[in-house]
Amino acid sequence: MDIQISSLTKVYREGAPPALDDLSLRIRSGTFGLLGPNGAGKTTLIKILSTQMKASAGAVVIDGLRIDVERAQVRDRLGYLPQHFGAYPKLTAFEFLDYMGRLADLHPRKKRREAVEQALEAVGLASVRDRRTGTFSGGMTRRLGIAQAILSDPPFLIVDEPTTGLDPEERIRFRKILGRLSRDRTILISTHIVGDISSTCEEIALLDRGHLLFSGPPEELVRHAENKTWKVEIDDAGFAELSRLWHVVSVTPEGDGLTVRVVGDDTPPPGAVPLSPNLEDAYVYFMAIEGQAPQSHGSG
Amino acid sequence: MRALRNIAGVARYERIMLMRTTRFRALGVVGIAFPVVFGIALAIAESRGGIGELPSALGLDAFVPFYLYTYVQSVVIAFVAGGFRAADEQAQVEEVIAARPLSTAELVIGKYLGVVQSLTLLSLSVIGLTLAIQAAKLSLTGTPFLLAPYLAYFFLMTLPALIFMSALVFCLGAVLKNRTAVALVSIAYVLAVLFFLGTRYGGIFDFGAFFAPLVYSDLLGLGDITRVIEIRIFYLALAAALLGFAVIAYPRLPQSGLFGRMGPVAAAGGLAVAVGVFVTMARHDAAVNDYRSDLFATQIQHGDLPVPSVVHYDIDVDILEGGVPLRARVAMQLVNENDIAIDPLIFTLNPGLLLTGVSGAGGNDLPFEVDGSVVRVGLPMAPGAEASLSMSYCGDIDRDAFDLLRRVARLEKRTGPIHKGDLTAWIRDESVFLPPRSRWYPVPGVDYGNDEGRPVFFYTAQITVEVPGGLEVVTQGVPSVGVSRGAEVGERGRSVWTVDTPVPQLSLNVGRYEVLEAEAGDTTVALYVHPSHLAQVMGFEDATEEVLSLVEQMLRAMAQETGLPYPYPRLSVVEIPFLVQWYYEGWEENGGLTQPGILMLEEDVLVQRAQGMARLANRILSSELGRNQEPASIKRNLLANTIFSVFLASEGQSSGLFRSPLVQLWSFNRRFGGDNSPLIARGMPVYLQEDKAEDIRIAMFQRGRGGSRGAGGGFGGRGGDRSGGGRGPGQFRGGPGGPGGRRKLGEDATWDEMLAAMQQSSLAEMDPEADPDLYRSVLDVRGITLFRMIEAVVGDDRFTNALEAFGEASEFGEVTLDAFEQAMLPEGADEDEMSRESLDRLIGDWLYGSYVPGYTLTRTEAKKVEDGWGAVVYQVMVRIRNGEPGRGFVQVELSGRGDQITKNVEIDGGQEVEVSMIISTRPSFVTVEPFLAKNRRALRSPLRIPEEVEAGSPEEYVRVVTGEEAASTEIIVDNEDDGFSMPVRRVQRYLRPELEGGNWNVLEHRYAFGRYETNFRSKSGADGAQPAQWAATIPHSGYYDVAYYFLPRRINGRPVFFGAADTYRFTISHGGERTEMAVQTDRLQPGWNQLGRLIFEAGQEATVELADLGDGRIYADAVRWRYIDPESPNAVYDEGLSPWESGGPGGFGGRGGPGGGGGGRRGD
Repeated sequence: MDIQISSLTKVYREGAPPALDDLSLRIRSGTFGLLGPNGAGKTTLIKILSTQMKASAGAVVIDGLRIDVERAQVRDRLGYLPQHFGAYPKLTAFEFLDYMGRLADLHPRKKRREAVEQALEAVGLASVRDRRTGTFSGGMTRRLGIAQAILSDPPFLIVDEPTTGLDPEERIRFRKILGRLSRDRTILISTHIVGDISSTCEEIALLDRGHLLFSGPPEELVRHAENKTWKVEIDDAGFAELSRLWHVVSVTPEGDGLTVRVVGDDTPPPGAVPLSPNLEDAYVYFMAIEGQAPQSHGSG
Repeated sequence: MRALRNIAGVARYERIMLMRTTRFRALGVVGIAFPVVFGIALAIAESRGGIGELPSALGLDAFVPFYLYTYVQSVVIAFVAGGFRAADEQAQVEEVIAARPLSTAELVIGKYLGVVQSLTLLSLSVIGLTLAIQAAKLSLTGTPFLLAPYLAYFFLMTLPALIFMSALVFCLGAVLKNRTAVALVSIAYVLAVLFFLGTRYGGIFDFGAFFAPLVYSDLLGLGDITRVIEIRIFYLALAAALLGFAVIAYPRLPQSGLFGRMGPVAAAGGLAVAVGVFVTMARHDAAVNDYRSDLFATQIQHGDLPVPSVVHYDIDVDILEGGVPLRARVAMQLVNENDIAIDPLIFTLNPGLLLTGVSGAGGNDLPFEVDGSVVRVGLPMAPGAEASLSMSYCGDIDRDAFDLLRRVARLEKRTGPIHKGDLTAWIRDESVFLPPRSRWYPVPGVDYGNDEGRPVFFYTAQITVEVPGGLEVVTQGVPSVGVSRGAEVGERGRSVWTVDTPVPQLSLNVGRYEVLEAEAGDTTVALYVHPSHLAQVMGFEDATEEVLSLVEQMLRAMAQETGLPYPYPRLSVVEIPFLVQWYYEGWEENGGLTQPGILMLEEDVLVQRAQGMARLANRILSSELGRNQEPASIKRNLLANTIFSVFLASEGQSSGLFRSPLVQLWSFNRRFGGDNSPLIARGMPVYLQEDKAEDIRIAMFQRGRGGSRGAGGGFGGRGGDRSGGGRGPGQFRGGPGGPGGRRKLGEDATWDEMLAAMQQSSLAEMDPEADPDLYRSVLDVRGITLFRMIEAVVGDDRFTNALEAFGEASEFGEVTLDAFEQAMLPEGADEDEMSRESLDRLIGDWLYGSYVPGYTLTRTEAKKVEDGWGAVVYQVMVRIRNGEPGRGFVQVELSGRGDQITKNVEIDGGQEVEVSMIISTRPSFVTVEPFLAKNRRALRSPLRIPEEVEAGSPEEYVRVVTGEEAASTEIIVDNEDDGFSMPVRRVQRYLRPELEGGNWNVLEHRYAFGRYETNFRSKSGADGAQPAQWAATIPHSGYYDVAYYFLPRRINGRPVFFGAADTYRFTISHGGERTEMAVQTDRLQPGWNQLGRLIFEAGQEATVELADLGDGRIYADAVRWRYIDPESPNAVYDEGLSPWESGGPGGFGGRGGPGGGGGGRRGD
């Protein structure tokens, strides 16, 4: 599965800044992470890729199919889990997936039932297959969402903010599911939570205000933050000064003081200990320094 | 295929989800509750004998639940389907579905079908349940059960309504998104249809659709529902368009360009079809109207041409042979009774029948031309010449080609899917209905354009009819013995009828009938009943002899009481499809379902009545009453009551003259001409029906067995509206019938409309075509009153004898009003009360006057006097004032124990007369029964007679009260009168300035004081600043009783009004003083309530003021000042019974007026 995005532009209103501005990107098989802060254009891109919205200009070709012309065929190859997903509360999990299976043209009935059972099994909901979805927790609903997305075994899966609102346990479980699914399809994960993609994505793209800031393997992004990541132990009084000069990645209280993880190009502060950067450090560094974006912590 | 699968998938789960919603389940409960509750309620009602007449498979009880359910369903659709888009959003599945490989059209259609499926299932459940209840019920009564009407209802009413409403709601839902907004707009539409569009433009919930399944007849099958189906197609196309719009408005990218065009295509296609259907219907209507106008114009052109009389017909008709509905050869014997030669001969023949040849006596072909419904035959006829003529024609009856005038008027007034009367004649496989006016056989002359009306001829006939096997033929005359009147299916039957008694018209009915035939005296009585209804009729088999004797008695009683013998050798009572009755509502129809020798009875009436009688018979037999009676006798009496209620009911009721044998006595064996001929043409049958039917009933029961009378009388109220029990003295005398009777004659126009019309123009000036209903109402009222007046003048016996002689003399001749008058009161005859001149004057006023008299009973006095022969008699003096400008006529009736005398009195406009009458037994009441007057009921006064015998001799007289005496002794100010006002004392009219009289509302109620209008004023109690005030100028100084008119709180257990204030505060101005009084409203009696006897001065304005104070409603109707004669201060009198105890005001009728004995039973 190869997705080629060429000079994609989306303008919602004439005169307004474009939500996507001449964006070109190539997504190959495997898991692809789409990172960016609010307003970066991730949702716009996802809506275009999931055939819910037309681009103002540019082209998207998915597996050789032009998305604006062969929308039906693209939808045939697409699984989609939106950020805000729910299910019909009056239907059981099985019925809901059966319904979605019908809409995905899963026929005959036997085949659809098998697919539903497999999907339920895959997301760990087999035991509650006959419970109405209105009684599901947020995590269960999210898993049901991924089940409906993979129901027809689509080669291209789009997952938007997959772990938002989930507790840590569900979040880990969800990441494991995505990891399993990525073996034989292309998964596009749009998120502002770096942890969602740090362990699974072969490639990532960073978007900001409709522009592509970075595209490549995560390691390459990490390399941008090498020798620019530090750990500083500081008291409360010094934290304000530190955060003014450096880009704080994380703060951990320790004893009477704070242990602060920072990135930046300047000379390290006194007492700073160099650290090996991770993807989050790199994301913060990139968005703050290389991407000329305002400093941001964990917002996407 | 995939699209279908997608649609089916969406529909399936939409249905599942919808059926799991609370809203849907609530609808289900409501829907199912309707038939269950309704069915149970009906069963209870029937078991109590309350509404046992509700019919079987044809019945409203089966369809009303559906009908109500359809409305409920429409409202619920607005709630369950309007949020289909919002529901997806709410469930947060919109995006997921948007990315699925299905088109928006598939999605929307699938969701739509899901809703439709769910509601269809519910509808089917409701229908199934109702059907089961009905089937169970009918299995007990033996009535045939038909599935088709239910299916017709489902497909014609429920499903189209569901499809259209759902599409409308879906479209709104796609556009508006907001569920509440969708629901509100949808409900607004439903209400608009219910209260406005539906009755005017054939909305989807119209009554036409409602009635459509009801026109499923056992005899005929489904009626003519072409227009219903057209309108349904129109709405289905609109539904498609709305769905298309819903697809367009649905915010989702299309699958492809092709799919993207589905919405617009559906919208445009649906709209195009809808517009196409609408235009087609409109064009068809316009074409029909043009066609009818052309036919009419052609007839008008020939209207004044002389035509020959036809004296005999030989008609050979083949029905439904070789695929031709009707093939006929008609030979006529003609006579030119004109003074001039005729060429060509003009005939009317239904243009649906193709004239193939015309030949003369020798079989020579004659030239002819057909122009619409007019046939011109080139056969010159010299004056007095006779000729024979034969016409051959074939084809089908064109229903648009007759009743041309009537249809124009009706069509303009009533649009909608079913025009009443569309199915007015037909030839179908198992049913043929050809009334004379359909012109199924050629008739000399045309129907329109002749100033004197259509020429009427009386002719004999020989009618031979061939029909498919198994069908019976009914027409005028007597069937020949020895011919095959019915044959097995597959063969053809041949029936020959001989008409020896001349008739002016011929009808032809064919159907699958069982014939029950018997001799009743000189008349053969035959009942033609559909086999499926035979069981209903055969319940009376064990009383055959009784029934026959009853019919014989009835025919004899008819002749004796009217003086007019039954003119035909055979009386055929023919069951016909019930929907035909809707047609017979025009005033010009003479009898409607009545033809010479034939009475038609709608199937639902037959079934209802038969069931009702069977039920009652069982009840009586199992009761104490029935223990000592013969079952046959009970059945005989039940049948008698039924005959009266069905065939001899009041004209104001649904049956009336429609199928009256009394019409047969008068209307088909004479023609009517001269001035005001409608008065005698229609007025006489109405009079016979109104006044003579009851006499016949009494005559029959008097001749009946004593033991059976109780049953007949006791249950008489069910069958007919006149209770047979307890006839009071004089109740059935040919009284004038003030408006206090039970009937509602002239129901097509309200009493107020008629009064207004009668005061605007005379009967002679009224245009029958301008407002046929109003004309008919006025004609009925004037007509019946005229004959009552004449009867009152000449006396009962003399009237009947004169009518007998006149009827015999005028048979097959022309009757004029003048001739009738002359026959009733010949010049030079003994006249004891009124001169011939005064009768002439009265009739003249009646016809040419434009006023309506109004009477007040101003004084009554009674005394004991010695008659000069040693016996004591009672002299009663009554003063009656006619307060209106026109002359009027009243009948004063004095009733004592076992004695009763009447006096007819003519009173000029503005005149007051005193009538003195002498009676030998002590009278209790004096009753003044006005002939047609503004009074809505008879005036009645109790008499208080001093025990002292006065000196002097009794004197009987009628004298005009002098001006001095006549000064008003009673003043009534109604809320409609000038003396009534509602002054606004302080509060400005800021609340509801549009109301006259501030915030006093005008309310109509038939039990309000009804001298002129039956309305009153009402307002909420407030601060006393807007009182109601009655004012009058007092003519005489002296004492007056001041009374206030109050409505009854309840009538028959039902409240008339609510929440009267506890206390009413009156202020009475009298003699320069003001008397204030507080009256507890719970102590007020219905009718006049005495406020006090107070002294007034002549020329002074007296007022009574009712303050709008209190915590409830204030009701203002009328106030009365009644002068107290100082010579007899204790004499009191009152108007008749309280209106809520006697017959309903507003109707006429009434011969009984207040009624005596048990006759005072309230009418329905």
